[in-house]
Amino acid sequence: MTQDVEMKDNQTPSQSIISSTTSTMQLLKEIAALIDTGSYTKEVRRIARAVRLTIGLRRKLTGSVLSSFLDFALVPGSEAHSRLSSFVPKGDEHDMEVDTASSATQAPLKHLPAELEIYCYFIVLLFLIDQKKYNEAKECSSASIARLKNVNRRTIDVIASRLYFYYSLSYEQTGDLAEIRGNLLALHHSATLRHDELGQETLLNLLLRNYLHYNLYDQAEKLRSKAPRFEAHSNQQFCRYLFYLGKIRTIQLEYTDAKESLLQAARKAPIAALGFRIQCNKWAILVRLLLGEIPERSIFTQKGMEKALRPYFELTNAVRIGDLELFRTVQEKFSDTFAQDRTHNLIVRLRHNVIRTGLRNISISYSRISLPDVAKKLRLNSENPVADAESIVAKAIRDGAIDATIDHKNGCMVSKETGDIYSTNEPQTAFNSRIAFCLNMHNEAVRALRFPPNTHKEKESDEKRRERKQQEEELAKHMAEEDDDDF
Amino acid sequence: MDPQLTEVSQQFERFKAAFVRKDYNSCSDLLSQLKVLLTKFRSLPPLFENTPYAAQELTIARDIYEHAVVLSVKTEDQDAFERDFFQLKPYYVDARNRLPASPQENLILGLNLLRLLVQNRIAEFHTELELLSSATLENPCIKHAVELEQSFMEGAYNRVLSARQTAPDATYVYFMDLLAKTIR
Repeated sequence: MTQDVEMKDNQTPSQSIISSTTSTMQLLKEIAALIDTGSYTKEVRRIARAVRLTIGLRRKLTGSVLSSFLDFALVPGSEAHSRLSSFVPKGDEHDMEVDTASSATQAPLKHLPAELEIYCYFIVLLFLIDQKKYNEAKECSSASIARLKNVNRRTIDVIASRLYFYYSLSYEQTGDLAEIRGNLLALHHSATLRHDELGQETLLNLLLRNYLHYNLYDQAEKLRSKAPRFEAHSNQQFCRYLFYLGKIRTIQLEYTDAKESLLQAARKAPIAALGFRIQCNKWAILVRLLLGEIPERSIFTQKGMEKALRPYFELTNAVRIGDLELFRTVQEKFSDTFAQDRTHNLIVRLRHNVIRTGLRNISISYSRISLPDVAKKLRLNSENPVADAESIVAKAIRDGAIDATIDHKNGCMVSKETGDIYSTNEPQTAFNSRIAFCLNMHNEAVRALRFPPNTHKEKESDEKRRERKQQEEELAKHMAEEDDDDF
Repeated sequence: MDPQLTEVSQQFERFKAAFVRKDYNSCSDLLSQLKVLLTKFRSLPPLFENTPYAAQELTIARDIYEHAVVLSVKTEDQDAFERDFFQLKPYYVDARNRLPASPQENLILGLNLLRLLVQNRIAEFHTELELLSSATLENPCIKHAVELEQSFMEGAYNRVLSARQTAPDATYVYFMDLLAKTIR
């Protein structure tokens, strides 16, 4: 702490810029101290805290602060020091003076913990990426990964997982993500062997992202299904995982599962991650449309998303009305957006849903309609619309989308009378399912109730407790019997 | 020239001759010999070593597998088709920046799409589709398969039936016949 006091003496309070740099410097030093103790006591918690603090500092990082921090943290003249300093632009003279003064007062660290070295890589990388110097970032991250491979300590995992992330990011920004795929796989392999779960989680996501970037859904799914799964450590990584999973499943036509994971990802994502949530919502909307559901209007009017979701809103509208013509115009109008989102192929799949909805509308409004009219209403633009309409109607009937028959002789579609629904068993089954749902919910709630373990212990004796348990059991049995009676 | 390479290319010439003669039995014999010979090249996937003749070796290997795929269609062997196609795929995907694009590529990809359609493996069909760029999707061979899938989903079977006449290549006819059978 004495050094910090000295530092304060050094600074001139009138110059606000310098004071801000020195305060950043001071914070950095505190973080370094945190890492130091963390590595000494082997407490992962401290390191994690250091990384969190760094993210807060991110905006304030400047070249001069960084270079002086490097002077402070690393042994000048060592390999890591010279390599890292080459990435950082030198600050102006005055700053350097202050820094050299402060680092001169510092007794050089006798032995440098590996954590601190890796941390230096991390912070320089962060700086480079913020400055958009992606090529330098690429070099720096590759160097850090090479260094990481030689270190096997659990305390490093937190920083390492961040490093992996920025490593991949810097390569993605320069557009050669495919290059590092082999490297990432090797890293994932060693992370698994070292039981570095955070690293595994991050790397798995990076790999999935890597594959999906090149539309290699097949390989992504194979990797995902084979990779070990465990309780998620970081919420963000879990969100990403869910999103990628949703994407893969959408492509493989498992819409129900895809919808579930996409919605979950959108819900779990932090409020600040607007871009991510927009992406999730876009995909979720498409998946729901493909499932034949119509998303509610409130989804499209979420805060900050109206503009981004506009094309999808119009698309939904077209599907809802079942108008092929409108669908086609929307598709053309926003084709750039869809191509950018890489959802174009999914939208092509939707065409079939549009026809379905249109047909359902027709069958509701007409009890009997000729096939040429169906073709005209659906606006099927082909050489032989009547024959097309006939087979489309036939398939819809077979799939159970509409309740009708085809009168081949007269060439028309006859919808069955819906009749009085209350004369059938329909209301009862509907009631049944609702009651079952309520009962289930109640049972689940009862099961989920938790009582603090010690409140009853003193008051009731063993005997009383046994009695109470018996009562509860009877009650449960009674309830179960009632359930049986109901159905 | 590398002696191994000469051997392979001679063998391949013989294979092509038999292929033109429609002598499919000797074709498959020659093909299996060729495949064994190919294993000796170190520049092929998955190793991708930089040997002096890498480009020629890759090209000839790709040619061989392309022929193998077409042959399996002619002999109406779907399993062989799948096997050969998966052997061929790395040449299209991973060796893209090592080789000039093959003129046969779209034809083969379209055939594969059609095969997935025939075998009712729609999920894989769409996965393959995602791999293709929008430019390739405009290609007549690919477009044919994509439109077929759409009419299939809509239920416009008569369009599928009439598509047989518009098939872009003679090899497509086999799969189209299978499809027609399914529809009926």
